[in-house]
Amino acid sequence: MRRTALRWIAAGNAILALAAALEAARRPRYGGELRVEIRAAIASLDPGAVSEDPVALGAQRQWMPLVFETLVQLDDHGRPQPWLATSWTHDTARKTWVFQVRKNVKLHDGSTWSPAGGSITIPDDRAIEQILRELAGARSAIVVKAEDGALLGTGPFRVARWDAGKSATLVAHDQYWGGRPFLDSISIQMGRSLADQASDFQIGKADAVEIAARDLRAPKLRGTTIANTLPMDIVALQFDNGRVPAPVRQALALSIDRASIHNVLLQKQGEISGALLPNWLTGYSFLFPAERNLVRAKQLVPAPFSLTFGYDRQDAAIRPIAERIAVNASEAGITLRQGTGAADVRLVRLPVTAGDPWLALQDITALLKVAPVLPAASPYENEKALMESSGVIPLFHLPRGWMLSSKVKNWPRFEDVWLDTGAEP
Amino acid sequence: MDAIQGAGRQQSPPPHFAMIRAVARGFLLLMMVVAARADTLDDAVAALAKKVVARLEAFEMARPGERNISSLPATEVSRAEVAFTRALQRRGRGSTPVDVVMTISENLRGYVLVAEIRHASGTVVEMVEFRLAPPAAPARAAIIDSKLLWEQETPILDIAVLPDSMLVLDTAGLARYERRAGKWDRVAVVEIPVITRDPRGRLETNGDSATIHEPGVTCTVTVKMAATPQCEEGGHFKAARNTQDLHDWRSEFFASAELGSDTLLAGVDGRIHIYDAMHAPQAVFDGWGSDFALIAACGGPHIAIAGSGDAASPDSIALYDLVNHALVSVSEPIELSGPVTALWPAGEGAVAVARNLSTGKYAAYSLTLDCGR
Amino acid sequence: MTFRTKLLFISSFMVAGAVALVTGAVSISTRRAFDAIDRERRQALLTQFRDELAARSSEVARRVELAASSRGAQQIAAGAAEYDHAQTEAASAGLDFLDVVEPDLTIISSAHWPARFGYKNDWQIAPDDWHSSDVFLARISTPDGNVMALTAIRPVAGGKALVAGGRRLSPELLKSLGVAPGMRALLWLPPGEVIGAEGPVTDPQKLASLIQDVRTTNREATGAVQWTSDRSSSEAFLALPITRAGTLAGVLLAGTSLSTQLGLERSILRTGLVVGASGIVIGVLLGWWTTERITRPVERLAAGARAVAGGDLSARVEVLSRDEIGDLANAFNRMTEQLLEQRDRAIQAERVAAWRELARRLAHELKNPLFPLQITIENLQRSRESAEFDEVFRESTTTLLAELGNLKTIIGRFSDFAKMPAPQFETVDINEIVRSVMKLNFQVERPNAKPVLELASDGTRIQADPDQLRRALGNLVLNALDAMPEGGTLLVRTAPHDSGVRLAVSDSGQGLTEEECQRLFTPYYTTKQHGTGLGLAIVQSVVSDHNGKISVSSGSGRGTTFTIDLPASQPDPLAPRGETA
Repeated sequence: MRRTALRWIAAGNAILALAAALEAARRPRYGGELRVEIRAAIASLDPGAVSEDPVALGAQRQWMPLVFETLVQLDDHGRPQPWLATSWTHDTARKTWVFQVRKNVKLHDGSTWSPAGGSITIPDDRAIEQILRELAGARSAIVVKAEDGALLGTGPFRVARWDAGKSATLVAHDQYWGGRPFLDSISIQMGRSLADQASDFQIGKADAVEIAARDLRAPKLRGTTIANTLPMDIVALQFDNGRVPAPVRQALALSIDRASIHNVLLQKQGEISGALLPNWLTGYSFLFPAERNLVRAKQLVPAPFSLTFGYDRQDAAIRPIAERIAVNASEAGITLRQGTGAADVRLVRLPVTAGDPWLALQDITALLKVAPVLPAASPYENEKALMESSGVIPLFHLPRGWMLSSKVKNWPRFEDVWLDTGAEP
Repeated sequence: MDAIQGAGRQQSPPPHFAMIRAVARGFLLLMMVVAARADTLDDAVAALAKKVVARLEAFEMARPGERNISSLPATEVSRAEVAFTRALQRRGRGSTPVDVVMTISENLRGYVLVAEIRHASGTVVEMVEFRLAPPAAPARAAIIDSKLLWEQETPILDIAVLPDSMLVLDTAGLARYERRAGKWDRVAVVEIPVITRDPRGRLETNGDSATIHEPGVTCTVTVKMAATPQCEEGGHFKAARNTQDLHDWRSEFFASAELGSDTLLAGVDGRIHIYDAMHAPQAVFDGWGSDFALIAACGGPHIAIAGSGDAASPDSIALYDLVNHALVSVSEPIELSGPVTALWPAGEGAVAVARNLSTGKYAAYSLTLDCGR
Repeated sequence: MTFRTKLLFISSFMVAGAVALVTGAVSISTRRAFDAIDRERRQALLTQFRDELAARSSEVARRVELAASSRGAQQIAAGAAEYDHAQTEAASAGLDFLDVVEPDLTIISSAHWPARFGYKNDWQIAPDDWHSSDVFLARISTPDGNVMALTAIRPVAGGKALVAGGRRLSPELLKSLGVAPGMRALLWLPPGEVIGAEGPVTDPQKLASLIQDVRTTNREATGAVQWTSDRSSSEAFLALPITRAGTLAGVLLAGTSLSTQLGLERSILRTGLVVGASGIVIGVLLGWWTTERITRPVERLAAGARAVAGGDLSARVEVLSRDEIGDLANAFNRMTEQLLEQRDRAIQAERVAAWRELARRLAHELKNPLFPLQITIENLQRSRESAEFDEVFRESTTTLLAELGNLKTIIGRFSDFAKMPAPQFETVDINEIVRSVMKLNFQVERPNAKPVLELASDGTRIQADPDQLRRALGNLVLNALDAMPEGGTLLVRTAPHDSGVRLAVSDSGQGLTEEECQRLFTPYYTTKQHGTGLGLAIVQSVVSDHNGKISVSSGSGRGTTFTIDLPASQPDPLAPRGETA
């Protein structure tokens, strides 16, 4: 657990995007285009357009802050820090909060973002921690609609070209309040399979590509760097509750030999988990059991049972896990077979999109189309209720790995990323 | 986890491992500071015990158990366990034992105490989060031949130590400090903000005047800073960039120095280039960083070069001589407290600014050579 | 059936029979030839299969050894490779299935089912085979079900692990066999899969019984299978067991399509039918021409004979040839001429006889009343002088008048018979006539004669002359009563008969002899002591005028029954011949 904590805090560091001056003995070089390839097909970076595809949602959450910023941002420890808002005060009744906005923040069209009075007033009598948490969420990003209908943000990059689901080009916002990014632009190729990404990386067509979690431990190729970042993925079984009785769901979960899968298929990357959110985010994931109990599973399903099983066959990480789960399930008398149409049970990836349990659960409830989180209840209670109502059984937490060419520096703080062309082989 | 090393030859671990190690070091230091505020843990244990007691019926009696799955030091863990057990025992009463297991866990925000109250009818969970204060800055490891001049939060671009004052050029502007009662007091400040990623600036003093070179602007001001600086556009540093451009054959570069008839150039390609008098390229070196300064002492000029690292690991500075267009090491490297953000010649020595990885502050050092070693 | 028809049939049958014989013989020869060829081909196929199987087994053994000795296998056995590294080894060695297992058969890495690492290998392999160097057929479990494979097991070089590898027993094996056109090889693999060169057979249950024979006896068996309702889909199979260590591992089926053979047989049959039909047609034509020359004269002869039989003795047959048929025609003509002369002579004789009989009857009838006339006149002559002359005169004149009356009666009957009137037809109910006649005749008490009527309830209305019918029936009734002087039963029956009515009058008298029956309807023939003998002649005349028939049946002591059949309708005398009223 200590190692895990440190590992994940290292990963958590990666989400921090403070405007601290970037330093290195090698001075970063301005210029260049970072070529990134991702599996997800993002329809839009509009914070109001939440994708229903878990993979796309996770990617959206990762890239959106480059364009649209929030009043506050969460630091490495999940604490809200001033961002577009520099300070906040409340009225005497603590029912209204006034956020002082940062000065001289330029929108992507060059105009100055200047809310009336230089502040934003939010009437809200909840605890400030809750308010700040929400303000740090993607849904609260500052978006200004231009006269032509285009969406303008304040982030270090602006969208120069957007081909929904296929490709995009983000160019540096020269007048970014935190200093123009080093990169001139970032080109993102979307919808690329891991195999295609690896192939493009090999031939030098891409500077940063995704890799499967199990490959995080693989010997690096010369001139590459391996990194992992948020968002990370929850690998879980999602049931069609209407079709699958509760004892069968439970039996299937109990039949899965998570340890073998983690050791062999995942090469000990990621964590076995019975909770939706990882322990480094909540600290209580151990409360959700994840042990195998084949005897109990057989007791719950005394007669052979058959379920249709769905999973993304193009996902090179999910497929072997799914095949192994089918083998495990057969020991408990449950046959998982391919079927057409909606499956009784699916092996899915759900993203953990934020360094805050509330924000992360908010995105998960939206994806699963269940009741939203209850602010009055604790994350533990919300998570427990969510798992019961959604028919989701988490199995693993997997980091999202990246393979970077050696010229890519300061990944993944994109405003600080620069390309060291001198390091090209 | 080992603490930050001071002396020692600069190793070159694989970047991946180096990153993890450095982060681990940083985290440990963070935790050490936390240990200084031990009562926070006690408060958390007390709050948890109170919550647990509220969940017990009158006829129930807690039977405590503990386990630790966090990185909290063993001493803290033991203290917490004892405190928890005592708190529950104080409550007493009841004849029906109920297992209450406290788990010390952690997340990125800090630590979490989780109590599972295992009633016969089901398990109830209570939690308390707490955070340990950051540790005090450890004693700085000694730097051979380096002397800390100044440290502050705002990034230092350059520093000039005058007989009776100190001028600190940072991203906010120029500040003048005078020594009073053994400490530096800021007596004047002019705002010349630098809003550039990887901000750079150079401070040159000449008698009573000081020239400030910042990206896209050059200002002159008296060293006493009695008047407003006179600024004009242009200058050594390219506007909104971290490069220098002297509008000659060198075009853009990070750093440059004349060594006899040779010119040393830290190029934007991240390499050190050597040109002869005819400006013909003579040699190229990789992996030497983008900052260097000429130190004239001890038979120099020698070239002080910051070793290339990344933002998460400390940099080292070593001396080299240019022999037949080749760089030859002439000293052991010294490691600073973090990555070097600026390296300028200063008198017979140099000034180096590094960001302390543990405190996040910027520290300016004076580098001098001890010729006897 | 005419002679011509018979001749035609005979000639047709002869031709058809000859063709059928030839067709049958050719079919049988063809079938035997096909069978012989098939047997040779199947044997060749079996030999080829055995060789191919042996070659593939060697290949599998070589590949598994290659995999077992590879560095990759050693790494897998040492736990130093990825869990799915067996896929790489399998691909390198060209194996479809590869499991690297611990000595306890726990899978370390599986090529075809990577997810089964850590589980026990569950291929259907006998425990001893795990340490055998043979290559054998085994059933391999895969994610898509069980498949059969040629399998070998080898130890991993330098380690304790085992490599179990195999290649699928695919239709490609069968495809590689060079089979003759129309032949194919199938392979049955337990528990019930049948594969051919193109893949699994779609309807394997049709081979079930043949395969079961082989499984039961462990010997080869033959059989035919018809795959669809079309007979040409039939296929003849030779099934051979494939055994290993005495256990049946599979069955090889060498099949030959019977479509060619059946097609040929059908063709032969069709040709035979065509030839036969043509032959029959030719035969018919030939026969017709032949019989035309033979049967036409015969038919003319037959027509002539029929005419003669019908009474036309003037019928003659044209003589058109001088052969036997011509001689026959001449003979026929001469016969009919003689018959005509004989008939004329007979008629003449009949007439003379009838006149003689009439004269005899007349003499007999007249003699009776004439004798008393003579006696009476002699008495008158004798008593002319005596005192009793007046009395004698009164008695004698009375007797004279009586006898003259008798004479008049006799002559009246003869007159009646001579000039019977033409019938006047009308619709009458025969039952009514019967009742009226019976009533008339039983008006007086006849103590010993009992009348019985069995009259039909319907169908008794006919066209007839009621007076004549009454007269005829009356005569029959009188005759019947006369035949039963001591008494008896007089039975009269009516019943529908053909399209008319049958009237039968039966008595229970002593009956008639056969000669009497024959002469019964001769005028003036009578068996009665008195009677003119005209009664039955009148009956016959009436029946004849009604276009009916009368017959008599009798036997000595059994009574006599007269049966009259009368048509329901009479021809219109004014209508052309053939029409009826």
